[in-house]
Order: sequence, then structure tokens, then C-alpha cells
Amino acid sequence: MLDIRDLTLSYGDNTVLHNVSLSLAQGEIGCVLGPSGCGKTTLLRAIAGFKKPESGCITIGEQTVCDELVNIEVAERKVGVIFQDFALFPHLSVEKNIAYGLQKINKQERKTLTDSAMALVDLQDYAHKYPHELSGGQQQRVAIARALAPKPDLLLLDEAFSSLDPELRERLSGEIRSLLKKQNITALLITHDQTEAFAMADKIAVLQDHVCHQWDTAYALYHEPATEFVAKFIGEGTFIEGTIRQENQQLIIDTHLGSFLLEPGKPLAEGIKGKLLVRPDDLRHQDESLLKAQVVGRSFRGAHIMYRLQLENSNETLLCLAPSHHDHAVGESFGIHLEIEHVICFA
Amino acid sequence: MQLKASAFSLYTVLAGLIIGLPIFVVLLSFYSLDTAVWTHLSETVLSGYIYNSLVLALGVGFGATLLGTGLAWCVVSYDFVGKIWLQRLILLPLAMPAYIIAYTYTGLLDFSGPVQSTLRTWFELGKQDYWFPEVRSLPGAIIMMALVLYPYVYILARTAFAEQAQKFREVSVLAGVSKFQHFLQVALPLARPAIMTGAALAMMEALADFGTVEYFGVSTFTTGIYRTWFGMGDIQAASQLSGLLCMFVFALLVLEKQSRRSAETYSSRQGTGTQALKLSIGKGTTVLFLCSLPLIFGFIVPFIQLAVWALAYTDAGSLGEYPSYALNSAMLAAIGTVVIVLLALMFSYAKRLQATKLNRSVVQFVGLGYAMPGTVIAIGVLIPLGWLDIKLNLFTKHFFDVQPGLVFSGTIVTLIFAYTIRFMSVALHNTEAGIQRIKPSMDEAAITLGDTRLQTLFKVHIPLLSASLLSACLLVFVDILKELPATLVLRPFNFNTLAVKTFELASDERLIDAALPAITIVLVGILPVLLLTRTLNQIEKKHA
Amino acid sequence: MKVMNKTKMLLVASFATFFTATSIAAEVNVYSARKEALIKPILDDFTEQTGIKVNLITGNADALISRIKSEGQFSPADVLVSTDVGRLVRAKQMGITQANDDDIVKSSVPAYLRDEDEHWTALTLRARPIMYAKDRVDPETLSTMQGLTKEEWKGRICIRSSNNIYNQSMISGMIQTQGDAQTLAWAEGLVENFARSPKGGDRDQIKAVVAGECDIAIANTYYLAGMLNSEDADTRKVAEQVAVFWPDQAGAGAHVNISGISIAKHATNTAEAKKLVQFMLSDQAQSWYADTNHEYPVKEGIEWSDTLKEMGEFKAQEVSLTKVGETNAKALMLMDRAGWR
Repeated sequence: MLDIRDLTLSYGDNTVLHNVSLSLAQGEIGCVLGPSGCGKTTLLRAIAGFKKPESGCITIGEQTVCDELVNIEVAERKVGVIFQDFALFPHLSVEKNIAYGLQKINKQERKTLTDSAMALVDLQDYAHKYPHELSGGQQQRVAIARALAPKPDLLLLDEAFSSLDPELRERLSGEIRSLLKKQNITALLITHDQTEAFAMADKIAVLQDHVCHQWDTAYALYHEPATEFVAKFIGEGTFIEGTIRQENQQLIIDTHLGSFLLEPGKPLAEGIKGKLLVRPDDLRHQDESLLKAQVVGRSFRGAHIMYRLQLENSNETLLCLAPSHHDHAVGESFGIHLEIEHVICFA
Repeated sequence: MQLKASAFSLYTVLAGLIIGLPIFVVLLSFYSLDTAVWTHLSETVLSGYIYNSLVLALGVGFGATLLGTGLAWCVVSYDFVGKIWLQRLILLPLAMPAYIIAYTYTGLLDFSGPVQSTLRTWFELGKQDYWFPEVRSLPGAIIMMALVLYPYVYILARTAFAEQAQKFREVSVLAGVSKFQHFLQVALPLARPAIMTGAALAMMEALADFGTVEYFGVSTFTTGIYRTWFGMGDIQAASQLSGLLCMFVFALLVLEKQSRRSAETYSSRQGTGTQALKLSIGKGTTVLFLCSLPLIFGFIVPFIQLAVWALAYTDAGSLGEYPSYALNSAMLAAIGTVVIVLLALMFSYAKRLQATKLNRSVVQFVGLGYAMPGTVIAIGVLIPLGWLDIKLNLFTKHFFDVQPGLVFSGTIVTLIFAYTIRFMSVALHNTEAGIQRIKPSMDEAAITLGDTRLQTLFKVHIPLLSASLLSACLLVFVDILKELPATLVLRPFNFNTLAVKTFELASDERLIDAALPAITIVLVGILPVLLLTRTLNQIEKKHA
Repeated sequence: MKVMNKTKMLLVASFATFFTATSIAAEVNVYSARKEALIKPILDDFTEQTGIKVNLITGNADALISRIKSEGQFSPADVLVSTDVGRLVRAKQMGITQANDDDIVKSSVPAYLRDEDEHWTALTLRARPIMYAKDRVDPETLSTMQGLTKEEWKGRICIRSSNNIYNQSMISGMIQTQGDAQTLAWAEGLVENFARSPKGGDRDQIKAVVAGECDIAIANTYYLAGMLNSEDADTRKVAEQVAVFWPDQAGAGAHVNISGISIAKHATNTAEAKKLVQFMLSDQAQSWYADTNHEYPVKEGIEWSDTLKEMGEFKAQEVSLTKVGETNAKALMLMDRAGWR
């Protein structure tokens, strides 16, 4: 449905996107996640057609909208965009805002499409209200209806939830996901917020320093991060250092917390120093363990407590998510046990 | 704190009442109506005054909007060759008083002027053989004023366009809406409140104009007021006519306030403002040419004509007095500017502290003077100040046996007073708009950090307002420089300004001799106008 | 350094004029409706000869009158100079002038050019005859002002707006000689024959005649005389194509107005003011006005300028100037009714 291949784009001498590739099937919801300045908004603008890439190609549906030879006009790409802050026209009513993209269609059909778009987001009663008379959530729904009314092939959402408060954001992202799924709409979401990405997306691209680090499911990003950046950026975790050695044609890393067998096929070699990813849920609270660590920080999270721990004889710290009945004050020590299901190690 | 704020607003109301005195004097004239005079007026000339004034105001409003909006749109949405220069020079017509541009074009385009004479010689035409538009007519007056008043619309429209989110444009692109349709359906409606404000200012200037309409023989309210007062010697009826004119203005002010209110709902600073599209050389040159036309006809052509006259027909002997005239003009303008802008700041600030109905009406009321003809204001100023002087002299004579003379009505004080009421509106527009931009949370932050209200004003507001204050100062300065009728009546002995000199010569039909003082006014006005342009461009950059 | 000093001096001087409305030396304060260029030189001569300093303010006559009125008993005004009789009459009616019982004035100015109570006196006379294009109008066809309303002049006459005081005085004078009804009929007839809606000043009317826009103009003589004596050759050439015709010579005479002077009621420098009035009636001042601005002197025996001589002697309308002033408002309303813009 959406296919982006080797997209490279720059502003003058500044490369903003470098060989970015990703693809979405019909009805799939993708997400581009990354810290600010990583080029994710530029990616969206390139897909919509506001910015012409240097090289690479973009295909929407059956149509190649952009490659070395063609560059189809924005209006011809059949893309809907929901902007950050929604960009609703303050001088037009809800109904007129929604009908704005339908000007080329005859009057009757326009009315039908507008009405059905309003019905979709449940805003029929607000047809004649103006944007400033609506709440943030309602404005968001108007923006969705406006983007969906012309029945675009692809919907792009640019930080579409960032201006809403967190509670509303969570509720709305759920609602919108089910709406998109019900309508079988392909959508690509741009965000810097992982929770939002996890709540909405089937597949997530992690973008940093103009490069796409990984294009995968949320599960894979967390448990099988492709790069050190992804590992750090997605979820919580710490690295502990170790040395890699080879034994029986397999690579093993030795750390303070024990030795772990590395998965094959990684660019690692014997003798080098490695960094092992330790997720808070890899570390178990185990009183009988000989391995003791001292609590240097804690934060209560309801069912669990996140402890920041320091190992004896080392200045490395670890995160440990323990059930909240294991209540320890800062300064106390307790036994821990490391049990890593996905061994992730970077050089 | 609350107590202090209310004390402040009490002073404001007092100041407002004092400044409003001339308007009261005019409105008080309605106390008794001379039915005979009014019957005569309404049977003969009144409908003409109303018709011409309305057509003039609407025409100038429309013309200034057309030019100002068109220019603003081109400058904001396109990048073209020479744009930087255009932007630097585009406000120059502000330095050209309407009556001076009217004199110059009459000299150029009149039946006996060079243009028509040349045409007649070339084509060997006689008097009746061809048609040429009459400069000295109502349409002529509309064009002249629109040519020098469009900057009012341009300034506000440009900011409004520039602040419109680029995203709006993108929504239109996504929807396949053409650039022109986007302008009509989105950009223009969103900028409408700002444009209306500018148009209202231009219309008020047009209503208050005397020099141009008098010279062109167009009977409007202002010429009617003069005629009733001077010709019929009926100052009462003249004041009543001014009162009627005030109502026009009041309607405009209400319109303007409402526009500003909806501007607040429309203001949507989200992300980057409108980004300019780079035009090819060919298209760019065309746009540059079109955009230069108002500048060419509103400034360059009349300026060159004045310069030619001034250079060709002025003998060096008469030059000696001009530095002192220019200095007088500049000094009056400078003192007036300081007083007016400080008062405007005080009014806007009081309104911000306590937006009571009283405060708001005071601000509204002092703005009324903008469309009152200078002479009417002069009378409104003279009557109370003359009374005050008499009382003062009686008092000092009684107790100390000294007569200080006319401390108020015979000095520069009267002039400044008259300018204050005449141009308060100009300054208020800027200070109010500026103060509205400062979020209330900033006041609160400053106060919770231990500032008093006054400290907040000096430490937070004035620095934030500096650009608005500067543009208020420059606009008022140029306006005072150009002001004629009130200066003529109220100035002290042996005191001449450039505008007075220009008028004396021009009204004596010595247009060519008037060219030198006229061009001097323009030259003195150019600097503040260029400064203003720079300030506005910087504000823009800061917002972009 | 020098520049600095000069600027400083200018600053100081300007500030001084800003804040001092009065000072102590022998002086006289003049409120003049005459433009500075047409009074300042003669006032300078006065100062030179008498040592009396003259403080001058120029402006619109009615505005000046209103200013004197509102300044009341402490008004610094000593003398009011006006360019028409209507304002002098109005000033007297408003009670801001005083009698100037001076034998020199009485002996210099004929009685009909003075106020009956000696509140004002004329200084110069200004005539308002018909002017015509020499190449297109046969002076034989001209006779009276009344004659201008004939069908043959349709679309051929230029005259300025009724806002102008000279026209108001002219109509006011006509009301005295011919009565209301006939004057109104005349004004209506004249409006019928206008070549264009009134605009511009008297010089503009003369120029319009030369340019061929109209064939006849009504204007004050000194405008034409000024053009005839212009430094600019083109202007002289234009003016030479126009000639003066004195109307109503067999009847009431051509319309004349005056410029005049009054002593303010609350004048503090009365002696100096009287001296100034005398000076304005001196041979020197009278000749100066005759030569410089081509106005007719009120005093017998003062030689006219060559231009005025060429325009010829004429019979002037001898009506009470006081009455002309008094009916000014009536004249204006009459023109309103006639549709004279």
C-alpha cells in the first residue's frame, strides 16, 4: 500500500533523510518514532509531496508518486494529513472545514461525503459550531473528519496528539485506532511519544540522525532492538560491560552478573569489549541470591517498584522492576538474579 | 495592589476626561439647535455633504484595501527580484501629505498641465476633442488619498498574512485548492479583521481631510464645517456638523473594535508562518512592477515633480528660513509624540489592569478625535484653555497682582493638546495591539516574583512593547509633521512650520513656490518612515 | 563645531518662541489673515522705522477671530488684519474690536471705506471684474454681470467655489444693489453657464481661460497682475492672453472688496497699534501694496502700478461695506440654494 525505498532528502548541504525504507500493507497503521530533529516530519512532508526527495521512490497504492522521473502533485496523491494543532480554519464552521477538501465534487455528493465524515467521528450535532467553540478532543475529531472526507488512500498524522493532555491522548489514540481499523484505512503516524506509537501502530520505524534504525513491530523493537540507539530509546534498560570470548564456535559474554550466550549473526568478535542490554524485567528480586545490590534510587509504580541498583565492587547501575511488596529503602541491599530471555549485545 | 490599580485607573479616567474636553465642547453644541440654519442646510447642502463624505470614505477605504492587501499578499507569499527594496520603500507614501500629492497631480494632470498640453500638441486636439479624466473631482480625491493611505492597510495586512500558519496553505494544497482560491477562501477571511482595522484608519483620515477636498472642490463634511463656520459665521451649527461627523467615526470605531475582537479568535499562531514562494525572473519582474505602482504614483512621481519645481523655481535667497521651519516642525512633532505615546501607553495599560466598562469607554472616547477636522479640534481646545487662562490671570491678579498672560492658549501647550486629541487614536492602535499580545500570565509571573505593577510595566511590558511603541512614535511623528489646520490656528506668535508655509503658498495658488516647503516636509518625514519600515520588518522576522 | 553652535542657537531660539507669548519691550501683536509674504516685509519696515517689535501670527480670519474671542480679556492681540470686510464686521459684532478715533485715519481713508464707529478701516481695495480670452471673446459682447447669465455664455464661464469669501462678498454686494430675488436668479443663471464645477483658486480660473476650458473668468485683479509680473516667462505669456473687462460701468459699478485693519478691544499696546494703523496708511505702505501685490490704495494720490494702470480706471460699486459684511451669511445660503458649489 505504502512503499518507501531508499529515500534520501536534504535541505541544501544538510542531509535530513538518508536511505530510509519502509512499507505498509492496506489497513496497516505505521508509525515513525524518533526524537525531535531526526527528520520524521520531513519524511511525512516528502510522502505528502510538499518536499521533493533527492533520490529514492515512494509508492502509494498502485501509483508511484515520486521517483527519479515522476513527482506527482500533492493534490493528486490522494493523501490526507492531520496536522499538529490540527490547522482547522478558525473562520469556517465544522461542516465547512470538513467540506473544504471536497470542492471539486458536485454539491449533492459533497453533502453526502461531509455528512458521513461527520457521522464517522460523531460530530453531527456540531456541524455549525466554530473550532474555537469546541474542546481539544472535538477539534481533533474535526481534523480527522476533514482529512478522511475525500477518502484518501493514505492518512498521515503529524504529531496529531501532542497538543492534547495525556489522558485524552491515550483515550483518543485508542478510539482512532479502532476507527481506522474499522474503515480499513492505511495510516502513518509521526510521533516522538513511544506510548502513543505503541498504542496506535502495527509497525514502528525508529528514526534517528536521519537514518531509519529499525522498521518492526513494537515487540521486536523492545526485545530485539537492531541498534544500540533503539535499545536505549525504546523502553527502559541499562548496559553492563563484559568481554566476549569464543567457546565451541559460539560467542559468550562474561559480565559481573554471569556469562551469556550470544545469538549468532551479530557483528561481534572474540576479545572485544561488549555491552549487554539489561531490561528491568530481566532482573529478578531473589532474597536467597548471593549477588547483592544496593538501592540507590526507587520510584513507586503501583504494582511494581522500579529500583535503581548499584552492584558491589562496581560502579555500574541496573534497573530492576520488583513487585511492590518487596519494599526496600534507599541504602538497603537485596539479592538479585539475572535471567535474560533475549540476549542483546553491542560492541 | 487592587487599590493601586484602581487609583491608576482613576487617573486614567481623569486624563481621558481632560483630553476629551474638546470633543465635549463639540458635542455640547447640540444643547441648542438653530432650526432655521438646519432647515437651510438639510434643504440645500447637507445631503451632498453626507453623500460625498460617505463615497469618499468608502472609496478611500476600498482603494486603500485593494492596494494594501494586494501588496501585502504579494510580499508575504512570493519571493521575487527587488523585493527587499520594495519592502524598504513601500511605506514612503506615508510621508506624503494628501494635500501635497493633490497639489502635485493637479499641476501635472490639469487641463493646462504638462500632460494634457503635450497630448494636445501631439495629436493637435482642441478643447472639446478629447476626454481626459478630471483630477479635481471626487474620484480624483479618492485616488489621491488611497495612494497615500494604503500603508495603513498594508502594515496590518502583511502581519496578518505572515502570521497565518503555513499549514493552512498545505491543507489547501492537499485539497487541490488553487493559490488564488486559497487567498479568497482562507487567507483573506482570516486577515479580514486586520484589513478592516487598517481600512477604518484610512477612512477616518479621509473623513478628517480638509486640504484635498477643499482644493478639489468636493463638498464634504469638513468643507461644510468650514463653510458654515466661516461663511455663515455660525460656529454653533459648524460644531453640530462636526458632532454629526463624530457619529460616522464612532460607527467606524465600533466596527474596528469588533474586527479586533474577532481577530483574537482568528489569531492562530501555530508553527511556522506563511513561507514565501520563489518566483522565476519573468514572473518576479512582473510582480515587482505591479507592486511598485502604488509606490511610484503615491510617492516617486509627486516627489520628482516637487523636486523639479523646487529646484527650478526657488531662488537661493529664500532658503535661509527653512532650517528653522524644519526644526520647528520636528520639535513640535517630537514633543507631541512623546506626550501622546506616553498617554496612549497609560490608557492601554489601565485598560489591561482593569478592563472596566468605564476604562474601556474612556479609551474609545479619546480615540474619537482622529476624524475630527483640525480646525474643529482647535476651537474645542481654545475654548477650555482660554477659559482656564482667564481664570488663572484673574486669580493671580487678585492675590499677587501679576498677570502671567496666556500660559496655555497662547503657547505650544495648546498645540500639543490639540495634537493629543487628534492623534491619540493612532498611538492607541499600536499600544493596545502590543499590550494585547503580552500574555496575562507574564504579569502574574512578574508579580509573584515580587514586582509591583509599576515595576512590571517598566521591566516586563515596555521591553516587550518596544517595537509597538516605536511604531506608534513614528506614525504619530509623521502625522504631526503633516498636520495643518490646528497648527495654523493655534501656533504661537512668529512661529512657522513647514506645513503652515506650504499651505500659505499653495492656498495663494503659488503651487510652485510651495514646492520647497512641501518637499521639505516629505524629506523630514522620510527618515521616520524608513525607520518604521525597519521596525516592522524586524518584528516580522522575530515572529517568523 | 560651527555647525553645532548654529544648531544650538536655532534650538534656543525656537524654544524661546515656543514658550514666550509676550515679552516686555515696545511691541505690537498682530493677528493677520493676510499671508505672511504679503505683510511681513511691511511690518519689518515698521519695526525699522519705529523700533516697535512686531509679533505676527497668520491664519484663517475666522479662526483668528475665534481665538481672540476665547482668549478674552487677556488676549495678547492688539491688531487684527483681515482680507475682507465681512470678517471685520463680524469681529466688531462679536465685540472684540475697539474704536480708533484717529484723525490721520479719517483724513486718509474715504468715509465709505471705514466703519461708522471707526472700529475698522480699509487698507487696500481689491476689484473683482470679468476676465476674458482675448482671442475668443469680443469685449463688445460684454456689458454687465447680469449679461453673463445669457444663453450665449453657456458652458463658457469659470469661477471658483462659493466657499470663497470673494464670491460671498460679491453676491453680498449684489444683494445690496439688486435685492434678494434678482441676485438668486442671477446666481442660478450663472451656475447654468458654468464651464465646469467650481474648483481651484482665482489663478486657476485665469489659467483655465487661457487653456481654453472656458472663455470667461471672474477673478480678483491682483491675481492676474501677479501673473503678468511673474518671474516665470511662461506664466507671463499665459496671463497676456487674458484681458480685464469692467462690468456695470453704466450702472452700479464693478464689485470691490477691501483688506482692512482693526484694533482689538483688549489691546494692551494701544499706542503702538495706532501707530501701526497709521503706518499702514502711510504713502510708503500704500505704495508697497500697490506695487507688490497690485491692490488699489485707499489713499488718494498714491500711484498705481503699471499693470493696474493698464487695466484701466473703473467705477467701483459704492455700497455700504458694513452691510456687505452683515449679509455674508445670507449670500452664502443664497448660493447654496442656487446650487453653486
